Amino acid sequence: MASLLALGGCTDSGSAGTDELADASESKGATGSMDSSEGLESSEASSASDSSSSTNSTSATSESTDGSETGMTCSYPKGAVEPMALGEVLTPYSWTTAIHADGTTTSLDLFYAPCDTDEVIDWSIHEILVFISLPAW
Amino acid sequence: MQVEQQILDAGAEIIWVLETDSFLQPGTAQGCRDLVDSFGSTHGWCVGDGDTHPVPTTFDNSPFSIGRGFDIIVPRETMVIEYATNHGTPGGNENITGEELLAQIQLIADSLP
Repeated sequence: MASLLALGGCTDSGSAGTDELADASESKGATGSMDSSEGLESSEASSASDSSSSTNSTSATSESTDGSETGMTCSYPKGAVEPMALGEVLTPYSWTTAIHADGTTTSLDLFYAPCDTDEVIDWSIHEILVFISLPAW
Repeated sequence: MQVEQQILDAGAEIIWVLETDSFLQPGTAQGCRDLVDSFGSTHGWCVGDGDTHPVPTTFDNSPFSIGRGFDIIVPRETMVIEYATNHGTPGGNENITGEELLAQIQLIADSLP
């Protein structure tokens, strides 16, 4: 289990401070579509302004097989680079407006994808993200 | 767009990014939706590159965007770009088919732990 979490950027590292939590909440709340602080009530997140050294993390409490609680921290993968490059971590870009084909309109913040902590978007059902970038002309 | 459903079935989510509109203005989410709907798209999220944070037009200015558009495949847990291809006017663009993109997605999906 731990090795799988590590692959996903999930480690047993310590949690981030409340100032950083505020940063993350501010980022998500900018859309006005939700109060992200509710979604982070049992977690803490940080958002570094320099994406190349991003250390965003979200703490979560999981239950081990023996029923005891274990503190785990799921983090956005470190090492994002600009400009984006093959074989490198993508910057946790965000958009204040995203429209799904089913009509759902919300903000979309990649920061929440790896750990599936978005309040609206259920990232857990997708193991892969495919970005198709195109101009209209 | 049957391939769209197959991409979803392979465990992937599509994020369409509209780089620019037909007047070369930075893309919006609604402009993106209108465009891909006109293609017959029935899946995925649409965002506008003019709204990309922290830097607008990041995708349009990406090194992958050779003249026109591009696709990148990113496993959600690692967020590492495992595959990239570009499309648009022939000449420097690879222009793979939807089926070929699907094959790459399945290849990467099969390699995940």
